[in-house]
Amino acid sequence: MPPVAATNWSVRRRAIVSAFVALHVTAVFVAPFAWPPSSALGERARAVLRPYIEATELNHGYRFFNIPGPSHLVRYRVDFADGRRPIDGILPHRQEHWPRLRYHRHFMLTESLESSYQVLPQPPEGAAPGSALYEEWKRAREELNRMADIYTRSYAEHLLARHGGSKVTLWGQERGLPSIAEVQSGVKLGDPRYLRETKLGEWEARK
Amino acid sequence: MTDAAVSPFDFLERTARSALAGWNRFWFTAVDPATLGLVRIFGGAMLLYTHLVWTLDLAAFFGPNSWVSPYAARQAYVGSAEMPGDLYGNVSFVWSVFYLADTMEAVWAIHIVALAVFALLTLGLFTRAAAILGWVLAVSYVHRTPGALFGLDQINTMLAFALMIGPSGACYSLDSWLRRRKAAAQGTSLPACIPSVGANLAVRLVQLHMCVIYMYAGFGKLVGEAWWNGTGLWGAVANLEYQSLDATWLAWWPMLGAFMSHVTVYWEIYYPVLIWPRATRPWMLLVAIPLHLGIAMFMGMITFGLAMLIGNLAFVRPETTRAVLGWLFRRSARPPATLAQPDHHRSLHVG
Repeated sequence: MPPVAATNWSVRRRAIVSAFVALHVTAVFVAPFAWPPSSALGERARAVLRPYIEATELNHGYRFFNIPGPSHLVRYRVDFADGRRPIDGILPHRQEHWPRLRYHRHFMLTESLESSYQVLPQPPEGAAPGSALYEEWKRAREELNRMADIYTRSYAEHLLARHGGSKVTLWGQERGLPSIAEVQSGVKLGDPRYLRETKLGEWEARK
Repeated sequence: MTDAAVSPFDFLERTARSALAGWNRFWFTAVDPATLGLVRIFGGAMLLYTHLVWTLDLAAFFGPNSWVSPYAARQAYVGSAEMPGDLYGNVSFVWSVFYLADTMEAVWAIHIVALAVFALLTLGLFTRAAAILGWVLAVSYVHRTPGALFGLDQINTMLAFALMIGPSGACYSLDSWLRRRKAAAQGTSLPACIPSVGANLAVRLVQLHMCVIYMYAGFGKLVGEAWWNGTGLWGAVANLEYQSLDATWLAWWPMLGAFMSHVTVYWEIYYPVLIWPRATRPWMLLVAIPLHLGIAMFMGMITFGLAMLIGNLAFVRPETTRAVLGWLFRRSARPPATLAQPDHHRSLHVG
């Protein structure tokens, strides 16, 4: 047995701290274990530990860059009722949002918005209002995009309040990733052909 | 062979005693708080910088009309209370002192206090109080701005939690310097640092948390094809919004890109195992440096890359911390005379 600095903690103290340590380490493990998609066991374990996991800010999956994919931006236009020229902007903005951490905070706003969409914000192509396909999309959109709708409205209201505008329009942009072969053939990462834009909506200032 | 005569009950009793002894050694060995002190300096500085940057956009992220409004912030967490099998109804246990701040004056007051607290934590002045307040404040910022968060915030709150648990101001702190100066004025002397069970607990919590983080980061990469077919890293460097240094030259070095992709996954998955043995720990830490500095330099996440390296510091032995700092500052690298030298690796029976 190697020499160790013997603890002067009493058995009772060690037992109490051990219980806390066991709880904490279990919570640290369970939160990513129960990250979707997860098993019934994971969900049950998370459900039991949820008060501790939430209160101590442990609710994370740690799936850093697990499926590298396109990046997401938000373009906006603020209109003014008094005839001023509209303000156009984009999130994130490399020059405007400096230092880099500030840029990244704004970038996460747009990525979080994208990840909260579970149904596309616009109806499927060719789905006319009133058609079965359109109605199905509309129903699913209302049910599943609750948080995306809350975020977009929040971003819109922030822009309206910040600029004193009367109307704001938001567009979501998705920039696809060129493949290795495409870059070898001369494609640049900022090539506009890889950028797709979807209108997220328009919001009027509250009277 | 006497073992053949051991009854199952004896075997179980022996195993239980051995496990209990192992648990006690792992968690309740008093250690030199040097490593914890170093984690405090870097972790505190990262907390300070992270929150200092919020100053530039305080109203935009924490005000009544912020990007993520107070209502949206609360709603983002209500959703997590709606998962299957929940036992507590639609109750959220997420909290933040910012939930009490409905004016910009109140937001600014919290922010100024927070910056002062993180500065005190970094310097190690009133460290215990600063560490507790630091964790409360770090979590408060996170819970107020869902949507603007990323890995950095997860590491920040992990570090703040550990600094609160252990005597993070026992070493390399103004508190320690003031204590010794006061003792010297009274004609007595104090050791630079006193071995502490709390320091061990704090460092152990960071160590285990880092293992969990890397394990799930690695397992997560096995879901899609990219990290299997060697294009995972390409997916990161070909993302214009992340890019801070152009690494698209990797397109002409696909074997290198594939190699680095595979190394990343294998390293993350095996980190929880290979970080413990004495023989492999330095190599695992060595790989962490280019991996996280690469994220910092090429993907523009300098803070996240550095925060992960600070987390890795928890695996640096206190003797090494003292030796390196002693060499850097040309002071004695000798550990405190009163310090018994616990051996982390041997106490785990893995090295």
